[in-house]
Amino acid sequence: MRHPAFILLAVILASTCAKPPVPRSTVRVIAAATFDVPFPTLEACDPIPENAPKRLVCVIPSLTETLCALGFEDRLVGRDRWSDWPESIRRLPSVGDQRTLSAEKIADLRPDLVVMWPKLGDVRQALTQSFKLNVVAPETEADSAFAGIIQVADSLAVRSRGEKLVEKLQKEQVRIQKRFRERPSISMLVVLDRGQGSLYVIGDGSFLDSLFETIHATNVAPAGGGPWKAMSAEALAETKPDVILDLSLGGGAADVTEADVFWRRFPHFPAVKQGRVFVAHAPVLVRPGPRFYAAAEALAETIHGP
Amino acid sequence: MDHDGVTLRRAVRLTGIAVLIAVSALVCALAVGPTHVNLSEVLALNHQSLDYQKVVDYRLPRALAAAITGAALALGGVTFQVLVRNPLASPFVLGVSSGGSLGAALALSLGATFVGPWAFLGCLGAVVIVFLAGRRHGKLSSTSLLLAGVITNATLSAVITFINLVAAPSDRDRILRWLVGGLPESLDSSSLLLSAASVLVFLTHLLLRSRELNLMAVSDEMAARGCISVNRLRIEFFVTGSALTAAAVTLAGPIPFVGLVVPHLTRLAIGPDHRLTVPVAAFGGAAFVMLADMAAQSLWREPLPAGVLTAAIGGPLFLIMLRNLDRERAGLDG
Repeated sequence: MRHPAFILLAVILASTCAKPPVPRSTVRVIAAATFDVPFPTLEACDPIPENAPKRLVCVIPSLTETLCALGFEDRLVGRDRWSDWPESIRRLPSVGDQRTLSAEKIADLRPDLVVMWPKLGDVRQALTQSFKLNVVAPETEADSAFAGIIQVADSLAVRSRGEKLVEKLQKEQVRIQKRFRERPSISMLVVLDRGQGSLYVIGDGSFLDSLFETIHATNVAPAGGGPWKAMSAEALAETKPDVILDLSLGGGAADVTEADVFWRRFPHFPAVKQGRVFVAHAPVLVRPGPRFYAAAEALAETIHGP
Repeated sequence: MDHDGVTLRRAVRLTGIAVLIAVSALVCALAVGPTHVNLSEVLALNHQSLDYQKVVDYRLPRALAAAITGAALALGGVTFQVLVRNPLASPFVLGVSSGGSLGAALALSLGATFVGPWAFLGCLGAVVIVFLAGRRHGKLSSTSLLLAGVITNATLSAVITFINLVAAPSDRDRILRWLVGGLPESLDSSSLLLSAASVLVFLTHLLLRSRELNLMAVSDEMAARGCISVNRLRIEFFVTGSALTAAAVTLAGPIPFVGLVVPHLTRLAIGPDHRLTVPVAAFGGAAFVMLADMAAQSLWREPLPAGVLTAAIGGPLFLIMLRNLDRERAGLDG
């Protein structure tokens, strides 16, 4: 029985019985409640005129929030699947999302204005030609988010409210910038989605990119590529960010485990080594809407400290 | 009564039944949708009523587009199954739909609002590649065509996957929706008329060539014995099948299984004579896609692309057909 083979076998069997050490999680979860921030209130506004639309359907989450910020929350009669804030609108019927939007379902709600994505040309055409509906499709993805707010306010006959909201947001951005200006600048990468073999990060030249200058951080994503820039993990390694913010969470506990497993694959990343990979379910940070800067401030407090 | 007289009477009777099925499917597609419709409002011809707009301005063009797509795909299936003499051939086996999908994926990733023209150009490009690659010494060979189609399909699919990977996530959703195959929410009347006209022209052509289709389905020798230039016929059928597929793909994306299942079901029901198969498959395909789109629009809480339903129904249906065919063959052998 003292044959080396038996001893080796015994060692192997014994090692399989040993409990593996539980590795420390590589990611830090930012609670969803952190980003449950309000939009700016508009004081002393002109009243909503009589000719303003009375029944609204909006299928862009950021603009659903904008409509509410402009005072039209009680006139919303339909929303898209992802519009979930403020909480009161969750009871409204959903007309689908970008993949499943149905013109007939929208028309069935008898809206007098529909706010929708500019790219869905066939749905827009069906709404305007078959159902003779008014449709506004503002640009939302690029750096024209403020222009989108004005365009929507215009179509609601409350341009002055739109201008006031934009002014407030711009002031809010400047205030947050001033607040964190003295803190050390952080090189940061914001991951929007993790696809197979690719990561989608916030690229330069978009409204979302303004997150970095607002919270005194630099975007380490290479230039070009638009708001949703695709990057390989290898290219990511070259960027060496101090902080990684992973926003690809669906909101479940399993997503956090999955994020942990994913980032564990890159132990040499400075952010992973220093435990500075933050994960969060924060759709508000990818919506160029009226709560964007308030959410950015909440993020800055987490990363820089209060 | 002579043999042709009997066939003509049978053709009229069977085509009549197929037309009746297609008209019933059209009525269903108009009456059932993602929202409730009060049909009395529609029958009252109240142009201002929302129900009238839903049925006449929205569902009717959609149902007609579904009918044209279904007919085109079924006829494409009939043509390609004869051309490559392979029962598993479908309009998509020769790479035409991959070309259309590539054009559409490219358009969507570049932010185009309407993808129809891009899809059509893609189909055209794939047809030219397969045609050039499928020729041997100036002649089209079934095997070369099939191989060229399979390889073109694989190559174009790889490019589509690449585009999908590098596209922005918001565009990926739209690309996926298109690749699954579904009718667009709105169609301009000119593209609808153009597609309808092409299907009608090629349906007539196939009806006139149904005797040749019968001969070619048996063998090249049989077709040659019938004093037919086999190469010329192959080119003719290749162009016909490709044009029909391109018309369907441009209109509604690559709706799967219609071109495979409908010709088989038709043959199972009425036999292999293409004088009957061609018209019946056309109306059968039209009914199949109209009903699939109607179900896809109304079954789930959010409307689905029709391609999801045709695949879900067509796949199992095809397996059952294969099983029955095997049993029949075993019975004959036994």
